[in-house]
Parts: sequence; structure tokens; C-alpha cells
Amino acid sequence: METSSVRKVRLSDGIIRQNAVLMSGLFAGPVIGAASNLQNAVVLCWVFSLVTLISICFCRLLPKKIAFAVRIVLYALIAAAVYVPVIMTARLLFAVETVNGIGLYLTVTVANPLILSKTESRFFLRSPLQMLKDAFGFVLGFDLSCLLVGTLRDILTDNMLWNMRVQLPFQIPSMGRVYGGFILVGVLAGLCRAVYNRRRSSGSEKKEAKQ
Amino acid sequence: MATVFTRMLTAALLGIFIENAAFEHALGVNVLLYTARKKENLIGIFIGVIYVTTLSSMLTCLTDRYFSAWEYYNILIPFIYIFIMAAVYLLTLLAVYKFLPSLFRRVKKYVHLSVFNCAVLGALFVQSNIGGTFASYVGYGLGTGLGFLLAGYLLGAASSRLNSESVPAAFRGMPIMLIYVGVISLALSSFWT
Repeated sequence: METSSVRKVRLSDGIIRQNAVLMSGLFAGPVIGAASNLQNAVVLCWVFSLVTLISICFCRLLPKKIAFAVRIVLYALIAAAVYVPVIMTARLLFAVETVNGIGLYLTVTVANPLILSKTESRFFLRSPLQMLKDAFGFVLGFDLSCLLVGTLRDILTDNMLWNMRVQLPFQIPSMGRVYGGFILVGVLAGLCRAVYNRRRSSGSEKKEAKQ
Repeated sequence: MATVFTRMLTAALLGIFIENAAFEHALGVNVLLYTARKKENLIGIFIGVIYVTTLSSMLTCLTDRYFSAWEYYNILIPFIYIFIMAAVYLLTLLAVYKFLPSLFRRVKKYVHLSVFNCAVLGALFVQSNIGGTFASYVGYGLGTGLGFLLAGYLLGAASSRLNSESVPAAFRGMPIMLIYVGVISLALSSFWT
């Protein structure tokens, strides 16, 4: 299936055009549930990035003649095995209370759609190096959105940023709750799409004017 | 018998309303968005979720009971739970392939979506934290599936309005759906607190 007809990989695809949180909502749930402050967001990014990138590399080694139904199971099992050393490093690097506090959302990173769906439909259609670049773009896109949401929620909820005071004339405590996360991510997604669509249409107008 | 049924019912209500996977924990959002887009698969996917959460809950109850004292159990939970979900998935798929080949052909494209998703894995993990008897595990598994079905129904019912011309173009689809789920989540959580 590695064909030359597959479009050239661009990092911006995963970071902007198909961002897994703000553009497609492919893995928005953990960001909504866990990134209620910057510390949580950093831990989530660490675990998600490592689990996803390492699992995709290992999954690539599986023979393609294995039936799809079995391959999906093996992908999930590989991700769950990769999760073990990754969560151990997270416990060493970050506060154990933070890691345990968002344990539910760290656990579900093993069932993330980048490993279970995008591998088959996108990553494995490319050469290994191109695949890595593409996957890296998607992971970076997730991390940037997660950190943005974590930062905004940290500031809005407690007027704090990583335990430092940020002076604001107002506070929105409900931003720390799940429903606050849904509404904030929804608004950010709409704004991102509006900016992206405007830039795309102005880019195509410039192209037409040149022709 | 009445006590068992009461425990099961309480756990099921907990899974449907108070600990709803989608509204309270934001789990399985991608599946909800997918089913709102492709309504023809909605029933199949949600029956799959209910089936897998219920059956897997029965098995995770046994592993939680016999292995939870083990030092590394918490770290290995995802692997053990994925293994259980995989066993349920493969055995069911094999049975459907053998006895209902026409159904197999219809569901094989999306059945993995209803098994390997954050809602199922997350629900098993939440139940493990809550603990309880075998009946409450089964009830919670069933309740989670039904709660997820409720979320899917509410999103599916509103999807035509959420994608209508009256919504600004940039917000149509996923952004407005997230805001809509947020509003329902707010309503539910303020109802219970």
C-alpha cells in the first residue's frame, strides 16, 4: 500500500489542518477532562506523546497479512505495554498526586484513535520516515492544543499559572469542571476553524490573482 | 435476590446519570461525533458499547477481586483491561462470523470503534476505583453503555439543528456539538450537586 500517489507529508497537517483536538476532535475528551490546569496538561502531553509515537513505531513492525480485527487488538495491546514504562517515567518526573489525579485520562491514552485508526488510514500508507514525521505532527498538534487549553483554564479558574499568581479582574471557577472544558474547547475549535478558513480563502484569492 | 437487584439498579443509574461517561468524564467524544455524522451506524455502535462494557465489567470484577492487592496492578490495569476487552471482542466476532455471516459483513467496518474506545476503557477504570460487588460491576457496565447511548441519542437528535445555516459556518459540526454537550453536562451536574 505504500504508494507514491499519497500526498507529501507536511507537519502542518497534524498541527493545524487536522489537529486532533481543535480541528477534528479526534482525541478531545482527555483534554476536556484532564487539562484543567497547566500541570495536568503537561503530564497528559508527556504520556500521550510517548505512548503514541512509540506504539506507532512498534505497530508498524506487525505483518500486514494479519487480519484487521486481530491487528487492532495487537495495536491496543502494544500501546498498553508501552504505557507501563511511560507511566513510570511520569511518576519519576512529575508530582505523584498530579499523575494519580488524572490517572483515568492517562489510562485511556492507550485507546487513542491515532494508534487505532490513523495508523491504518494514514500513517502506514507512507514510508517509515514520512510516517514518523506525520505522526510527530499530529502529536505536536495535540500537545500544543492541550497546553493552550491547560494554560487558559489554569488562568481563568484560579488566576494562577503553574502556581504563580496572574492578576485578572475576574475568575471563572467553572472552567475547571468538565462542562467548562467542553465549552472552552468548543469555542477554541470554532475560532481556530474561522482563522484557518479565512487564511485559506485569502491564500486561494492570491493564487487566482497571480494566475 | 432483591438486594442484588437493588445494587445492580443503583449502579446502573449511577452509570447512566451521575457518572455518565460522556457528560461527566468527557470519554468517547470521538465516537459520539462519529455517530452524529454517520447515523446509520448509531444503533450498531451503541449496542456494541453496551455489550462490551457489561461483559467486560463481569471479567474485570474478577481480576480486581483477585489481583488488586498486587503491587504493580495499578500500572498494569490498562494492559489487563485491554486484554479482557480483546478477548470479548474476538470471541464475539468469531461467533458472529460463524453463525451470522450477513451481520458480520455489515458490522466489520466499524465494530472495533465500539470496543476500543475511551468510553469503554474509562468506564472499566472508573468502576475499578469505585469497587463493589459483582452485581454493582454488572450494573455499572450496563449503565455506562446506556448512558453513552443517551448521550449519542441527545447529540443525534440535535445534530441537524447544530449543522443548520443559523449556526456560524466556523462553528458548524464539531465545535458547536462540543458546546452543546457542555451545556447538557452543566445541566446534569448542577442537577446532582
